[in-house]
Amino acid sequence: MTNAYYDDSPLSASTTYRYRVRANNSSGDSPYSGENETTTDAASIISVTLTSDGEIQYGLLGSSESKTTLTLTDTQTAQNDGNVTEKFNIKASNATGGTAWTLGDPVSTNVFKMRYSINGTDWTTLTTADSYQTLAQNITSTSSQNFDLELTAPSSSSDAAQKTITITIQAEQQP
Amino acid sequence: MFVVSDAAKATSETATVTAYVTAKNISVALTSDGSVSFGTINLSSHADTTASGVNDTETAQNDGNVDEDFNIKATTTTAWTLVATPAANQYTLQFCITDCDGAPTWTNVGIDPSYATLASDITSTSTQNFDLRVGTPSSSSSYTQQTITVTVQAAAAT
Repeated sequence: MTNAYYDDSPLSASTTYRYRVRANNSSGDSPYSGENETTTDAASIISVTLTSDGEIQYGLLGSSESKTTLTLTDTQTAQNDGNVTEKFNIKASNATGGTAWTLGDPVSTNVFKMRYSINGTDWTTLTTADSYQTLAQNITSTSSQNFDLELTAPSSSSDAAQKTITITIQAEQQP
Repeated sequence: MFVVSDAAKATSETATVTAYVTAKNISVALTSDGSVSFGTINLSSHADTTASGVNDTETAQNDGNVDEDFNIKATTTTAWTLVATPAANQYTLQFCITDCDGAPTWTNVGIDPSYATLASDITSTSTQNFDLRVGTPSSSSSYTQQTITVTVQAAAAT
């Protein structure tokens, strides 16, 4: 007999399983074989943490004025603290507080713009609120990725209330 | 032979950065009543808002969120033209911001559409008092009440 198989699931990660087999036919069951063992792999851990403070204070911005975390000396750092190589994605929310600002490009009344850069030179615009875009790829375990954020204020704002924007970094296993 | 597949694993993980920003707001408001009645004044005379005059000092407040400069201008009336030195059918309007009830220094306001600097570097929520002095024409073709519109402008401090 060939190609006999046994699908044993679900299994736990990092666990040793021992198996023995025996044959069966019309005459009955054979004795058990000797034991064979195998250990499952460690579970893939996908995780990202910010090793920077996770807070950016852009302060007061005039109409259509831009400010970056470079000038604020507040570059952010995301670290792969999982155990597999990861891809980092980034998204930004609309700005809440008083009359909301909407993420968009170009800026206009109550519409603000946000861009990101991983080298301080090349900037990518976050085009749609709450929609992920690729920040960086092939981030190996324990490696980190610096990134800067630029915010451009609306051409006019309905109020002068402080706005809050949430920027989310997502880690996924590198395809 | 035994084949063991991967154990269950997480598919993604997130971390967040929170950003805070506030739009600059340039704004000025008068905390005084915004109306001055100089009354009836002789030709070629002055009247002012100081304590020895009509006692109606005006106050402008920075109600924006950045340091501001205040500028001031006034308009020509229906019968009198605003000028730097009074003449026939021409009047002056001046302001004072320092020791106005003691030894005032009077400065001409801007003639619309131009502004003159009233005060500089007024911090948010701070106020600036100012007095006004009108100088009447040497002669007038009208003896009806004249109305002057005085405008205080706030600009981001330079």
